[in-house]
Amino acid sequence: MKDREILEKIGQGDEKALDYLYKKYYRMMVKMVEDNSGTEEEAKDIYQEALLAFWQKAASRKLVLTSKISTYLYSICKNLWRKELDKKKRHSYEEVDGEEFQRHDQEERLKIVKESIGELGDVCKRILTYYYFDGLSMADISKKLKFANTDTTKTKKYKCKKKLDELIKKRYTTLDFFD
Amino acid sequence: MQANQQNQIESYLSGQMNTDQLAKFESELKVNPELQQELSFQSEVINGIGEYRKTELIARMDALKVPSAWWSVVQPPATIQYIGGIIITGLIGTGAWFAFQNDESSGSESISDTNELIIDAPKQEVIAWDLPQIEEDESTTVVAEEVTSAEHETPSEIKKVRETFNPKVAVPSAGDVESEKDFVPEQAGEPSSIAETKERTNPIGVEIIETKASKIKYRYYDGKLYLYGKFQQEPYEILEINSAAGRRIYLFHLHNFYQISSSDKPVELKAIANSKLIQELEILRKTK
Repeated sequence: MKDREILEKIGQGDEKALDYLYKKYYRMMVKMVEDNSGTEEEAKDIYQEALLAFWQKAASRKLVLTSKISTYLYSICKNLWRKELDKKKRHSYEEVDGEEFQRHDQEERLKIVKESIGELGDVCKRILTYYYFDGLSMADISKKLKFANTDTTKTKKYKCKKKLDELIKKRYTTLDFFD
Repeated sequence: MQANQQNQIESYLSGQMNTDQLAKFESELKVNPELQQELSFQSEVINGIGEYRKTELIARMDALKVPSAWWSVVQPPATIQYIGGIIITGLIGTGAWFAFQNDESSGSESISDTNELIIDAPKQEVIAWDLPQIEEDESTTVVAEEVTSAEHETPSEIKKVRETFNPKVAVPSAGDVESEKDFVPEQAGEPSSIAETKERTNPIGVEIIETKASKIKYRYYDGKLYLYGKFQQEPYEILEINSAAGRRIYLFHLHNFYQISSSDKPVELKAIANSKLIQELEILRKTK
């Protein structure tokens, strides 16, 4: 598959293009990390993070490639791995108690949001994730989910988001959330 | 919240406002606490949707089979891969056929190859002499004598002895040791098998290393388990199964079971998907 075709498929939200890219360059990224004092497990994490960033940009059609996809992915992985190595040197696991508490609070809220998304129907989940994370256009979402037109998609997206907000608010108490 | 306000917040969060809209929105934000709260809420919701999708896509990638090291380095075209596959299959098939043939011939050779049997025989003898230290048994002694006498016999006789050699040794099992009140391990010289069981049942030490990462990892070596993740916030349980096959360690965390294997490097914890195993672990967890 050529780079142009891959980008086009990702633009339409075709996840098979993500599978293809993941398998195609997996060994290349593992080698880079392993050659720079990392393990395959660490390489996998880095590569997945890089691919997600690439997927997000390409799916929202915000990406203008001036190099091959492999070169682009390789440079993201290299930067991420460099950051990871710096973090390891700085012993970033040590944190102050205040930050720890705040982080715990944020994570609790995130858990509630994720659980509420899990309660939605499949169509709602897909519309919201395609729109808010992948950044797919209303036209691409309509095509992918086989909706009649973009107006139908917009209405569904609005209703799904409203339902999600309600579910989350129900789980948060006023005190919990607006403290 | 009105649809218009939600659209404004979404445009603000996604950076789609022009300079005028941005200035207007930010000035409104300064004086409107309700808008501030709603912005904070929407920001968390959108972030949560993103995290949900990330988890979904990562699970998708994790489920993919990745190429092994040697194959991807070569990266041959599809046709060559196909032809290569046929050749390799052919070679393996031919190799297997020859190996089978060799096995058959080597099997017949072993009948006449008596030297190997003579060398092997004393090894059996060592085992037979060691065992009475655990428990003196008539049958053990008889077997030992048989093997010793085999040294002076002809190769064909040795073969016969080896075929019938069937040591009947009463090795104490862990259950037997518990039930015998008079049994004092020190007096028995603590046979190695018991010492090994004792070492295996030592409780493992657990150390938690709090990390920001959403993925949970572990390291396990020298009987110490290091857990990387948010384990301080969420309770976890360690299940140890000690059996004759060895020690198996499982972790229960956030409704999932994970198997722990020896690793001196941090390894991501993968939830066990085998429903039968999960069921059994669940029973074990509840009854422990």
